[in-house]
Amino acid sequence: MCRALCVWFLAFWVTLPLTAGETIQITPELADVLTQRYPRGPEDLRLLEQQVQKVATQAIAATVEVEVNQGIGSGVIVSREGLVLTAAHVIGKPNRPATLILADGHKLKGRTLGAHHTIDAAMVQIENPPQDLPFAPLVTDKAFEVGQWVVATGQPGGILDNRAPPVRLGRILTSGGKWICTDCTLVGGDSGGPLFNLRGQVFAIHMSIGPQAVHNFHVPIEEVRPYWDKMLAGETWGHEFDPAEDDADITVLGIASRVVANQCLITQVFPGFPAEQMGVKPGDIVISVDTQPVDSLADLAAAIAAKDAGEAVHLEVLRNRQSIALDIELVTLDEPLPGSFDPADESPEESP
Amino acid sequence: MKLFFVVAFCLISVGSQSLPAQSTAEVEESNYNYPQGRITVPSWRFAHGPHVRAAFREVVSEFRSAVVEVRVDGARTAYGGIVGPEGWVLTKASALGDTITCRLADGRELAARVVGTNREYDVAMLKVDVAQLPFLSIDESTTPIVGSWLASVGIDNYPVAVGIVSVEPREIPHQAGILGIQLAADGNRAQVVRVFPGSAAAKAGLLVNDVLLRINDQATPHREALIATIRQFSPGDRVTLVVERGSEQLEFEALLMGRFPGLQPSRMEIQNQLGSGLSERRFGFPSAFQHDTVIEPNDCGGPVVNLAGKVVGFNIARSGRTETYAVAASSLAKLIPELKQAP
Repeated sequence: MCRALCVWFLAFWVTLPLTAGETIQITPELADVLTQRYPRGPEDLRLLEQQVQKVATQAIAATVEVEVNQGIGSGVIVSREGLVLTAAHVIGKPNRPATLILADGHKLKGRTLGAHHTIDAAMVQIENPPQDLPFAPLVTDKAFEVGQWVVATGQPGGILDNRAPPVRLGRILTSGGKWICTDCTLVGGDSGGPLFNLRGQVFAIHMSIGPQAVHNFHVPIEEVRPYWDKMLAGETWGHEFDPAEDDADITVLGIASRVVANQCLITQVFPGFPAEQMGVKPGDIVISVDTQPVDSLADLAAAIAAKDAGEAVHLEVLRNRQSIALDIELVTLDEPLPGSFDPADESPEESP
Repeated sequence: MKLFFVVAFCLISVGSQSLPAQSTAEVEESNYNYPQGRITVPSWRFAHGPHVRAAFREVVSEFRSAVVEVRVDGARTAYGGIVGPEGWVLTKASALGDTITCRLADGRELAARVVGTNREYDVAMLKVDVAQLPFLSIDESTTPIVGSWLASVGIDNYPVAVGIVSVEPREIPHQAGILGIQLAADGNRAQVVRVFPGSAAAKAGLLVNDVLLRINDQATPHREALIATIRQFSPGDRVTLVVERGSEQLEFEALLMGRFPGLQPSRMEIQNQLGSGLSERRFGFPSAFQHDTVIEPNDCGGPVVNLAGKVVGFNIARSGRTETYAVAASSLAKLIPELKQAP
């Protein structure tokens, strides 16, 4: 009896290592810290640190480098059966052979499943996954908050000898619905890598970066969930990433705004953009865009994103209780937004 | 297109969370690392922003009096840490120049001279002639633990920047430095047949037909010897070139580069430079740990401390968009006595 139990117990431990798939508890003390806008002192920082260390250990084990068709990105194992989440622009198409490399350098064979290119999420299946495959749990809570602390891993610049996936700490700075922006710094090779919440759950997938260190974009798992079965079935759809479209037009007004007392208040007018040139001032309240009333920021964003450069928007704003009508021609924003790391880009160098 | 929607949305909806300016006035904003640019979110929200840095005030208070600003010709090029009461200051070697001063937290600015240099780690020991300075104790048993907070200490009340340990110490691979010349193919002597415009060689003043005799103390009698010697150095290293020009023997100082001028940077290089400048000397360290603190190249050279009040290491390079390297306390404990004894 005892012996049977021991054997059973041992088998249990072999197939269920502690680092696999466990959601990490948040203590009441830490929960209190997390309700604050920011840590107040060393004691808060210490509680946060203890949690980040636990998350990091689990995060590193579940992080893989994804190699498909000479491209290199990152991914995360999210099931004992070997399902890997990554970015659509890392795998491109379904049914391609893939190599997945664990933090310790161990290589596994896989095959690409489906990809949703519009939100930039994709799946890879590990073939013949080992019994002790590490994996990370998926987020269970739908809600997230700006300011929430997050931990990023990945293989920036591709996997290197003696380097575990680098761990980065950040917070959700803002969200655009289908994406979130954090200050966990990312770089080429991180694409497809995981962002974790403080419970150690995979919360989002790394997507792209912008010109500043605080421009790091990720697609939340919540945006991937509705397409789960379609991706598992190996379907590929959505707008395929095409580097040629790096020059495509995008339209901007050049303002920042927020909702105050159910009104859309312009808080900032960026220099050099059309809104400034046409005389929009901070403090103006947007009443309508193209005669459509603006009730929310989403309305404003959608109205502008739907237009092409060169088109004008008719903006009605309230300033000092007076209504002012402005016709503003939209311009393009031509900043580089590089995508994934491509080793073919590396120029051979000679010395001296 | 997706990528572009991101920016379009950024411009209009990022600001949806912005607060009036007074919300950021709760703490000092000195040394604020992030260009505000077009991301306009309240500063409390940044993981490494001024509010979070302010939480480290107590942590850095015991260290800042043992930190100096290292200035070359009046401009700060690095930080440094005082590692002995007699005015020993450890800093980043490649950040130094001819006229060096150290500015203390109490406002004093003192002349400093270089006593010793370790090229492999890119660290140097300075000496200022003041006794009884507060100093850092380096405990070699302090190890960087992945996921733990680090504060890069400056001379202010708040740290220069904060971040976490990303990767344990490892060897940072060497990348060969580039001088930017073409050598005569016959190879009897290391004779220059072309100097690439904008290269380290061009900036140093090399001319076609110059013959390179020595690099620092290493003789370069022929082509292969010169190539092998230059390859030992890293981008960002300063080397002394001894050159035969006609009947003259001349000396030049060259700052080696990471690639040929005029060659398009790779996508990876471009991405790594989004967010902060990078140190010239950022490759090839025998051992360093990696952290995610976003600093500028001239923020290197000073100590990073943990919440337990221990010096974990010294920042040695800003090396990429996601990475800053620091030499760990265990390495420093060996380096410091050597550097103090240097002739």
